[in-house]
Amino acid sequence: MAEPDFCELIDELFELDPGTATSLTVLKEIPSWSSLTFVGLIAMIDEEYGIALSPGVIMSSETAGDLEQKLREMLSAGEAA
Amino acid sequence: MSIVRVENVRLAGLASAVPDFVRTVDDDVERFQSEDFRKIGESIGVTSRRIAPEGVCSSDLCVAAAERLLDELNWDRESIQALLFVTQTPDFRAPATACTLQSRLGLPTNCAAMDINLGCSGYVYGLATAAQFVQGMANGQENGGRVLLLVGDTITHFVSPDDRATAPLFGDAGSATALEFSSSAEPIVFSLGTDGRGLNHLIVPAGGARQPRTKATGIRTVRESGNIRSDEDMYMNGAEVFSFALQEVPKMVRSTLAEAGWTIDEVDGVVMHQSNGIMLKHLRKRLKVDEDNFVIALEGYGNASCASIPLAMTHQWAQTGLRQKRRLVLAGFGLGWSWGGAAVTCNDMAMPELVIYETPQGEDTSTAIKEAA
Repeated sequence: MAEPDFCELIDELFELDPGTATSLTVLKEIPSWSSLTFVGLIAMIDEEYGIALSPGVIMSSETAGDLEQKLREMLSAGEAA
Repeated sequence: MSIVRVENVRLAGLASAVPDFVRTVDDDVERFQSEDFRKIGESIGVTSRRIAPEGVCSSDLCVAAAERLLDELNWDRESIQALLFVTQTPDFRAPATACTLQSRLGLPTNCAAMDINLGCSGYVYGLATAAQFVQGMANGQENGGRVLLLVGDTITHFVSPDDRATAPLFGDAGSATALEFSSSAEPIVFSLGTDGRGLNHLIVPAGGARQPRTKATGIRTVRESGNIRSDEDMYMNGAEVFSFALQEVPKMVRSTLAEAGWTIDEVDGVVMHQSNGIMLKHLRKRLKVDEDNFVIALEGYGNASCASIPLAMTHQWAQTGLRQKRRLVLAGFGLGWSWGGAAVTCNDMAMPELVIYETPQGEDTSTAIKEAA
């Protein structure tokens, strides 16, 4: 499976112009961040990465890069297991 | 997960009722002074919902549904041996509402009656309990061991109108399901589970014995994200609910299918607790259920708590009926965390049209009218 580009996914989910989100984008400062897009983010991660994420993992990730890093760690831990 | 397998029990019929008051997304836009609610309504799949005015109880909606169903089935009330009532919104703190329902419905005094206190998973737990009652009481008699399962909530009475996490989502409904012994019925399989660690994410904290009602618990104050609610109102952390559902619901559905010996493609209908549109669409994709076989019945009703599964069944099949044999998978999940899946083969099942409960004249409808204005 081709690796999804996390920042592109963030652009799409939060209806940002393509190329807007970077690994330094602060999640909670995205203008369309809301409880609904929060739920959308959990759904997107489940769909693209097959990980049913606990909301706490997102809450403790400041930037898109932080969250992507955590996802990668979970994926490689899953592969190792 | 706990597996319950029940032989020789059929669902004879199902009826659902909703109150005659409606609240719409226009009311939300006005109440919250925000056009965002149009988009929220679209996303969650609820732009209008049924609201029981103050004074109208879940038991009233269930009685309306039960009367309609008993007429349709032409059952002698004397033949009903047990009545189960599933709700979070009973008439009284004590006694059990089921006792009042036995008398209101004119059921015999040799009828067993009890309440079951569960929410979103309640219909499946109610069916599992009712089916075992039938099996235990019928003594092998065809059409014996009759049980009436009433499942309903006026959950909006626990919802603060100024809490944006819950106010636009919930609606009220009641239902009645009739079960009896039938030697030709296919087995019903249930898959049940609980994780009480999640209870704080979806809860009405005050009003029980743990945190009794005081003046303070009834005062609505500003909480997280500017939501206004009291400790006697329902709190919901939508992200936690969603995350829980993603972790447990696919597993539960797979376990239910495996125990029934079905594949998802052999199922004629999947009816989940109607939590919200975003979650349901995602779960459908995740479980690879064909769109035509996946029931979504949120629009016009809202999330009707424990009554959402029977309400969705009425919505889906009242026109066409469930007279031919159909394999259904039911999936309740939420509040508790509590979850239950059921694999049921419906055959020759009575499915009357949705009952619209008319609020009696003189009932205090001031809250509903005020909220709707």
